[in-house]
Amino acid sequence: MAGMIQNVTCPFCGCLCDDIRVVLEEGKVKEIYNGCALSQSRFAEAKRTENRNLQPLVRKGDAKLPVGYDEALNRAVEILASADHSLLYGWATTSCEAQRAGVELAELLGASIDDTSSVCHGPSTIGIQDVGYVTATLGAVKNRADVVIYWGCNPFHAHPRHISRYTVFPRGYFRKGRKDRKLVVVDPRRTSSSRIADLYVQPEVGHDYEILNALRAMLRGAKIAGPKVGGVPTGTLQQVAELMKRAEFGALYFGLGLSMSRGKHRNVEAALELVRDLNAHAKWVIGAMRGHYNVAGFNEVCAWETGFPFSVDFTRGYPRYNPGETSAVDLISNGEIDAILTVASDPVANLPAEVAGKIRRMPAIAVDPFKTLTTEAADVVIPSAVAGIEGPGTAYRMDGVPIELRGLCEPPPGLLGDDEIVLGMLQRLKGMGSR
Amino acid sequence: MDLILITGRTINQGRGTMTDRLGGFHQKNSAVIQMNGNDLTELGLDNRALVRVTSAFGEVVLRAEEAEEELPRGLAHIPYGPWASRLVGSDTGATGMPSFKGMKVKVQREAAEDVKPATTLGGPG
Repeated sequence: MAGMIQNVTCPFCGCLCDDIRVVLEEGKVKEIYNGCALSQSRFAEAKRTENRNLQPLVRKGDAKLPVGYDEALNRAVEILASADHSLLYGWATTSCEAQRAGVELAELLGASIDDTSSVCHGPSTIGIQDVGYVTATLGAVKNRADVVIYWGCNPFHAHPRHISRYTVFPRGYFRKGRKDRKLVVVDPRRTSSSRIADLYVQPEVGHDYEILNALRAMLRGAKIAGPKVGGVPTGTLQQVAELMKRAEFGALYFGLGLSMSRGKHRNVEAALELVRDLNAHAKWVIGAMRGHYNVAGFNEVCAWETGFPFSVDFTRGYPRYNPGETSAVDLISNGEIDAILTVASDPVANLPAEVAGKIRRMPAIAVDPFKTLTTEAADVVIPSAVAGIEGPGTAYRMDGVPIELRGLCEPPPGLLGDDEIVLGMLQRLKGMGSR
Repeated sequence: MDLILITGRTINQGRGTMTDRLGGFHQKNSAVIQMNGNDLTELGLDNRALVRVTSAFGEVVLRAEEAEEELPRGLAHIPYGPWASRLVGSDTGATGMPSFKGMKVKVQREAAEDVKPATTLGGPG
């Protein structure tokens, strides 16, 4: 198959840019247009084979031996079904269809299921549950926003087209482009994103909560006594407050600078409350800069299936949600988990070393298109097609808009999609009778 | 030297996780600690010199470099990944989220020949 395919969705970050143009040659991605550097890497990765898992592997003795899918799936289900408390973890870089099957698998197993958001924007979700939020789609912001604030995030590195496609540079229905919009960046680092800002605010690390609440106080007319709040001159905060009040339509996007720093969900709550308060003066909305392309999708799927967005424990036969107890890091570090299934994620690389060490020592099944530290450590490795490039599906953009993932090309011969693999486990488990 | 550490995303860390998770590009871009140039000078370090970074939870050998995304003095940044994860504790303060940003670390000159590849880092606990 040759030729240009238009309007392809990029399966890398939460922007889910759906204007990518892809040139195929002999069934492989040859070139892509409109994609950022991360998108280029994502599409390039899928066409290489040396970094791929191409054959299911099962540990036998000291060696991992190649087997067929049937044997690997049987062994995976055997491990999960014999565990006292297994964890089904990951899910951020796969389709909603695979995630839905994963939630059903967790329920049937009496397992826990968690996605990578518990170590990402999980605190943001907790904050939203606590205080609610005023939000809008990225399309509304593109058309209407005249003031945009990025707080604790560096979109030029993590979401490279967010600023250019959705918020500051694009021509919108009511905005001509950059000159019609003001950009404020709040970050302890003077990042690339901050260099194009109209106003850069440099807080000390871990002081976001007091700065956000100082802004809330200023909006209510309070005078701040000290010369600085969290390292930021009071005069600068006054400037930010005035800019916010004068906006016609403001949008605040926040990153892990809030959810990972001291205060965590309390920081996010303060940001949500600030935006809520601002609506007494002007139209303001807020959104989280979701990282992996379908991490927001897992929260949607898990919420409609279980009533809770992440960190769900089925060990009592019904869903329980208590981040800090039922979340992946806590479950593993507390020694509650005795087997793990990871799908489309690399917790051995990305979770704290103590947790990674425990994963290395427990029976583990890894479903992943690529070789990772987690597949290296796993007892069962199940290769999969790259969702969104080698198979279709659905994903949720960071603003909660579902977008179709296109299957562009065939996976390496014989490889199944994540959804087919998880459904294969479900079928086998149902064949055994649920626990 | 005592510094406050934040871990985070960089574009080349992101590209590394996409192209070369277990290989050289990822290591070159993620097994680094980025610092203010004056802090590097005070430690007597050249750009890309080896340092040992120690937190309350672990230690790791990294290359130190002057941050392109400018950092104030006293603040350091390590891209997300297996090297940064060795310095992060597993206590989540009942939120599910470990503290990936704002931890105290000590940075010292290191005599090792190179940083360890991700596959040989091993794990404590």
